Amino acid sequence: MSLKSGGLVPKLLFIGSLLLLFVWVVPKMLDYYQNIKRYDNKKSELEESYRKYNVVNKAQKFNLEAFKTETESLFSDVSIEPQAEHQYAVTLQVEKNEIERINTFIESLSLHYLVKVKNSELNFEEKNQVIEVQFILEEL
Amino acid sequence: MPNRQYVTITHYKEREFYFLNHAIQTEDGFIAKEMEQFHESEKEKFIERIRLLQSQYPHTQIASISLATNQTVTDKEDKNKVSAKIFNNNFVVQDKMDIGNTPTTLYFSPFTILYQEYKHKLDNKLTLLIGYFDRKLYMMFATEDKIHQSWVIGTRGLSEKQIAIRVYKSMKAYYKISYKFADHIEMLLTDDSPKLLKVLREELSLTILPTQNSIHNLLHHMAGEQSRASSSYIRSSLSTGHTSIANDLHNDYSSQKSSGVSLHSDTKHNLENLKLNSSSTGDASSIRTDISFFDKLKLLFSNKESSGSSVRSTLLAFVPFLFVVGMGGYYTLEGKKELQSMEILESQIYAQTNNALLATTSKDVFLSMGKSAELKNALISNSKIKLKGIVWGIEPLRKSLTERYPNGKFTINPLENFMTEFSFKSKV
Repeated sequence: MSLKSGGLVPKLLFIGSLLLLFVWVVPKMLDYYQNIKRYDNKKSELEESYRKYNVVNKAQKFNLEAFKTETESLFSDVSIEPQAEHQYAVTLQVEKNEIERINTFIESLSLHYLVKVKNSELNFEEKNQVIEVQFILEEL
Repeated sequence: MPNRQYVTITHYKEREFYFLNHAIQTEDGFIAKEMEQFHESEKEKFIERIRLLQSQYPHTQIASISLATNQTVTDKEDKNKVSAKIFNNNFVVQDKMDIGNTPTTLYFSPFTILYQEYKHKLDNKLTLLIGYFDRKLYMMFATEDKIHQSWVIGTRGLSEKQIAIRVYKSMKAYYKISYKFADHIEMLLTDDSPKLLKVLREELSLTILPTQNSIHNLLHHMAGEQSRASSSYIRSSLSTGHTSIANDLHNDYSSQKSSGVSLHSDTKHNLENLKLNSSSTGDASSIRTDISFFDKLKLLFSNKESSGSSVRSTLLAFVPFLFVVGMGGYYTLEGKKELQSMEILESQIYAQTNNALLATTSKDVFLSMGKSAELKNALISNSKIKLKGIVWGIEPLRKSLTERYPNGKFTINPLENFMTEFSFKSKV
């Protein structure tokens, strides 16, 4: 059955199919495969960070209890208060001579949990020979 | 003595014009006079002219032609319709007779005229007889003993090639119902159209020997002989109110008979079976067959193979369309999922990069202070730092901080307890 001998509807459908193919489908396909390539590159970049900081397990979605338990094992006094939606005010205390532990904790934080430090801002305050650090965590 | 002559007056209407002619019938044929033309707005003048001719020649017949498209040839006469006998058991039938209040005593069908022209050529082989009257093709498949099929196809507005294609499609359509192709084609043209003949010959690859004649001449011929006319004109078997033409004819014949013209003088070469209004009833089934065939023909000419194949081709055309839509939908959805995954990954990388930078800034600040100062409070971010504390060695602290942050602002403030407070602000 040739298109030439077909009716108006088959011809319109055929032309519509060609238009959709070239105007919609092909660009979507190209976008899709380009995004896959970009995703692979980004994933490699992130895996490099995991190797750099010796983090074995991939980052998990933020869980308040799990985070609190893990943080309490590292710092003497830990307080986590939920704030706005998906935001938590975190207060940690560390001895003056162990300030480096804060830096180590912060620099690999996003490799353990899908979170970020809001405005990339840390507040330090000296209280009775210990340093109290405050920041706000925001879920990704 | 002209007033004793037998004269045939012929007229027909084509589009908005009446065409009128009269001819004097002789033993050697007819002598046609000049054709006259009247616009339909001059109908009264046209009728007056006919009446004048009638008054000039007492022995006249007024012949006209039915150019209706709803004529069919059947093998049974339908008493509820008007009909004309062609020969044996073949009749031309049409629903009604509309002569438009013009004087008419003989009314012929193109099919009967066509048969009269070609009856001597018919044999046991199938012949397609085509009459081209008023841009319509009157077609019938005939052998010497029977007319097998007929139909009328309008061609107004069509090119010669399109007309030829319709003839060819008609032959194909006939083949579909009878499995026979016409062995021979005869064509009677009432218009002088050499281009149509040329195209028909080329398209049908058959030798067509056309006959060209005017409608007037054909009508003069049909009405020229009483027995031919009486056996071929269209009769109405409807109520008496609708049989005026037939009655007129009989009246005319009666008057002619009394004036010495023999009604049955020569029957050798004419269709003489006059049992036209027999009691035989119309055969509904044969009519249904014709209608069914016309439906088939209409489908054929509507440039579609059939409604079924049209639906099939439409459905088939949906396959690539649906495939394309499906593919587009799949890649759109997958693309969205991929973008969501990418956004999470990018935000994690961005957060990790910022955290690492923040940790580095924090390390740098504490390294710069070293043992030259003791921190009271600080705000450290990736864009700025603000420090406040007690300084033990002013110059080493200033040097250390300004080396790392040259645009920073370092200030000191002596305290009452002999200690000195420092503050430092800088953009990172």
